Amino acid sequence: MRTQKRSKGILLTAVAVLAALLVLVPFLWVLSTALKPDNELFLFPPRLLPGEFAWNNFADAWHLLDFPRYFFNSFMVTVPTAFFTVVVCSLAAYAFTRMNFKLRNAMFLLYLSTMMIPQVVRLIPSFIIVKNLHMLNSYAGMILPQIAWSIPFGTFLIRQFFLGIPKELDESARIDGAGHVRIFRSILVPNAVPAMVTLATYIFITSWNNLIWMLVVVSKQEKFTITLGLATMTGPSVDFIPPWNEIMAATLISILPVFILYLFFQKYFIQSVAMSGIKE
Amino acid sequence: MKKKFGSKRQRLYNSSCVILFLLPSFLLLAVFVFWPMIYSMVLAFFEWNPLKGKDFTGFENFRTLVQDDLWWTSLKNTVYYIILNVPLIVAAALGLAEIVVSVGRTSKLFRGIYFVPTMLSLVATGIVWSYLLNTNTGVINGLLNRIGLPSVKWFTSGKVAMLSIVIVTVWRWAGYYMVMFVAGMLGISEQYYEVADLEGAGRFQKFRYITLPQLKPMIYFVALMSIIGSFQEFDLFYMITLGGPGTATYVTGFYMWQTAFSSMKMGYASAMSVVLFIIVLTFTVIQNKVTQAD
Repeated sequence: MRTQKRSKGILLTAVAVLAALLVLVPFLWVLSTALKPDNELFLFPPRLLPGEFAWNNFADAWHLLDFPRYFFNSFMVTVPTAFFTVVVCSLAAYAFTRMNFKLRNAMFLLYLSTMMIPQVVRLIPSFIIVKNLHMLNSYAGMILPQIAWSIPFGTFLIRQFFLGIPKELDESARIDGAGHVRIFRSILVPNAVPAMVTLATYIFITSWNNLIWMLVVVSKQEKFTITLGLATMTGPSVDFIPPWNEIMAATLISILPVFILYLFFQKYFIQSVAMSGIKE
Repeated sequence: MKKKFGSKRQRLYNSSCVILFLLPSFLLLAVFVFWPMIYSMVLAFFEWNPLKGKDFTGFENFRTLVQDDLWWTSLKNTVYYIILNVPLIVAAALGLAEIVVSVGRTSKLFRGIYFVPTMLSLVATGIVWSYLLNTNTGVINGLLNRIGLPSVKWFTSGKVAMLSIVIVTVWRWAGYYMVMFVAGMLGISEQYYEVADLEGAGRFQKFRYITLPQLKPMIYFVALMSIIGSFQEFDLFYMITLGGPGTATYVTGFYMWQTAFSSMKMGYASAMSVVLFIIVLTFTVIQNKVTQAD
């Protein structure tokens, strides 16, 4: 009986490890390619370990793109997007959980329902609006629509969390003479830090990885984000494609910030996705 | 009670607070979500090139759309992509979630690993996989040759290209939906499983007769999310095939983007987006009906 159970456990672990390999081997192969010298790129049979480590690929890749500028632009877009999304959504979530007003539930449903609208529907009009506001190739034009499009999910997430904070806390503050602004600032916000970090992490990463809006709104190279930069380096829309080892090295450099963030905020990011699956 | 009979000043304070707290989000939604939706429907009736100007053309765009072979091809390709994609993503996500939930002590580690592709931008995903699945120089064909199998024209054969994109999509998204399923599975009451244990049910039976039925609403939800997601998938097609070879991977999201921003036919592209919106809306309504019927 016991040995049977153990063998089942081993089988399960074997499947788990196999699935993990399917996920991770592509990354290992990218790393190995990034470290191979040119003459080892097309060896047959393919070898995972480079015979000779060509670290200079990373130095070469660094010159493929204007990394410092693109990284700077990415941060200039993603950090405000994440920060203001959290602010705007927390304010809305406060109204939806702590205030009584006519049409409150209808308003909330209206907010939520926009989650189901495909982004292609708003792409063209948003482009025209941003163009008319003279915000093409500007950080504001890159940031504001992304905040707007994050509001349904963000408000939903923070609202779920606010609902869990006992109302007695704000009652006692109200007795002490606190108004809405003070209750929001001194009771709700300090108690909802995990939810806010969760949302901020999620928005940071989706905004960092955004391609389609950047293609639409940015045409000047000086405003390229790292994701947009990467997309102009290779792919079928590019005429001159650098060697694969340099491409892989550049790709690795470009994803480094997000991976470091993932290592530290993994818990929050996974939580945000888990929560998006919970309906009411 | 107090609130109801509050003074006029109190009520004024309350309503100005509501406005204060809701205004930022409402304003942003109004400008970049509500207005664009209405505007799309208006634009669909115009011929509009931003460099030239706009002309009201009535239903002309829709008439052209019905006769546009490339549109029908892209619609067909999109449906094909979704039909292949969605069941595979759901199945893979469920499988991964089942592993994570039952593997015991190492469950957090495996969850963390399976989730890693979700971090990767679709741009990077596209670059990585167009290398791995490259027909001439890719490692996967290298390995196939090694064990005596012929090379596969992953992205260069019209018949296989869409299938290859599906493989990439599943690899990228399975871990994302897995997280939702894990949360759902942990929410199922232990009692069901204890009873099943007493009855001597095996792992597969428990999954089939307890986990799956309990997760049904979530499975519908994930299917809907991935249908909507697949409908608008753009990045992977842009990075890997640009719709090729030929028109084998021309999908609606990509065709619409190209019409609007390369050919600058914004009115025509808006007509496409309106049709897409109606399709997605229909799916959502059907999903709601199905969920409620259960």
